[in-house]
Amino acid sequence: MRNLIRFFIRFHFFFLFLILEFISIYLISQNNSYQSASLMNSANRLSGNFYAALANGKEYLNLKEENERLAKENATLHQRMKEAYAIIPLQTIKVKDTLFRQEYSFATGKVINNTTNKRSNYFTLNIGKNQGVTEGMGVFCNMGVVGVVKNVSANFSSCWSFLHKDIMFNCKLKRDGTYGPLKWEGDDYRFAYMYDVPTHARILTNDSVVTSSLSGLFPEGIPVGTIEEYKRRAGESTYTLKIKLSTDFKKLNHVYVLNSILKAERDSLENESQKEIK
Amino acid sequence: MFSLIVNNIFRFVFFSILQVSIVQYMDFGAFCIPLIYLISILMLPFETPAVVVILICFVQGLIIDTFYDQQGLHTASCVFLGFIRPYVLKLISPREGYDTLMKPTSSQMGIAWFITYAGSLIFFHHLLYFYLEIFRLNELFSTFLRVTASSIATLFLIYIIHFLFYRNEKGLS
Repeated sequence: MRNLIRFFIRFHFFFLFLILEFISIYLISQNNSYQSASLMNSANRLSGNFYAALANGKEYLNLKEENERLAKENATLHQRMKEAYAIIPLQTIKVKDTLFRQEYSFATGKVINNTTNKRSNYFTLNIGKNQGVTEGMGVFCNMGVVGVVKNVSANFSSCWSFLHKDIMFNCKLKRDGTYGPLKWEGDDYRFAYMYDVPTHARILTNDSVVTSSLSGLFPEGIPVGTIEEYKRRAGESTYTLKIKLSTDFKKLNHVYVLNSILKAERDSLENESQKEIK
Repeated sequence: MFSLIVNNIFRFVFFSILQVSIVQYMDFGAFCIPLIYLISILMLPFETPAVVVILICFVQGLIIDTFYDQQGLHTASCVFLGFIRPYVLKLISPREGYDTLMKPTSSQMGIAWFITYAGSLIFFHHLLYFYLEIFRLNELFSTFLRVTASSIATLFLIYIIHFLFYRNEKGLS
């Protein structure tokens, strides 16, 4: 026994190292999917308020561009208003629609911290649980898809940017609906790759790519990007498309958080049928 | 002694804030990610006990992780840096050993010594950090490129900062 204690005292430095390293590896293993909440994140009080103060200062630097962007968006919204349309002088029948129900609701938030230069990028929003945000919601802006909410505190939420090593969701070509998974490969923040596109699909460069309803994260038809180039790698039976992302991740400011009202029902049903197959 | 502790705490806080508020957003391309907060660990005096160093590394890693949203990654690699620091110091020690009043700066130990010391520690830290971050084998070479480029950038920035702050410390102060 005494020898054992002496052994521990002699190698106390090494054992301390092992203990600390085990704690960190345990922390890493807790943090590998967006369903599980992590202990330390930029949504807590210290870092959340720090980033909020930093964003307040930074906002003055790009007020002009932001104003232009919002003015443009206002213009498109005005076009959709009732005043912008003339009544067509034809007999039309109006039906109060009972076939459709609301599937998504939206909350607006501001990005207070964002990076693009890491292999796995995160951003922080200034809205949280009090504003109705929960884990796993999709985030997009008027340019296109942005990311997924990962952690939520009372007034902040920290999210995975689409520029993250573990994010992947289904997209489709707008023209004919061919779909495949989209993934960022970590090289350039402006481009991502879409895999497993069958060779019989007709692919044209500059065709637009939008989200598909298969992903469950986003509604159908949110813009993702345009096809930059496509090629068939040696030995593969499918095309790989290089997509130019429509979202400029350097200019994120106001974003929409998407609450899918029917997501819980859909997920539980899908999980159940997965279990039955097994 | 007291001013030494205050100095080190100040350096710790200052470079942590610098890292998360400015250096984090500096864009040198996707392969070059400098982590300059390591300077507060590198500049700890020689006579600091190894156990204290490794605990400081642990706290430093936790703080940076909180701001980077990468729970545990910086902690793991910083703890590893704290573990190998005494062995690296022993390996490259001058013939007569370290004087208790000396500091690990290039003006006191020489440029070659400083580059070896900081460079090797930074390289091992980045090696662990980037491979733990990606944690898969199919990006083996691009990750190694990232490790090398980022190590060089970190070393370069740390050397410049160190040159600005410690240039005047000739002799034993």
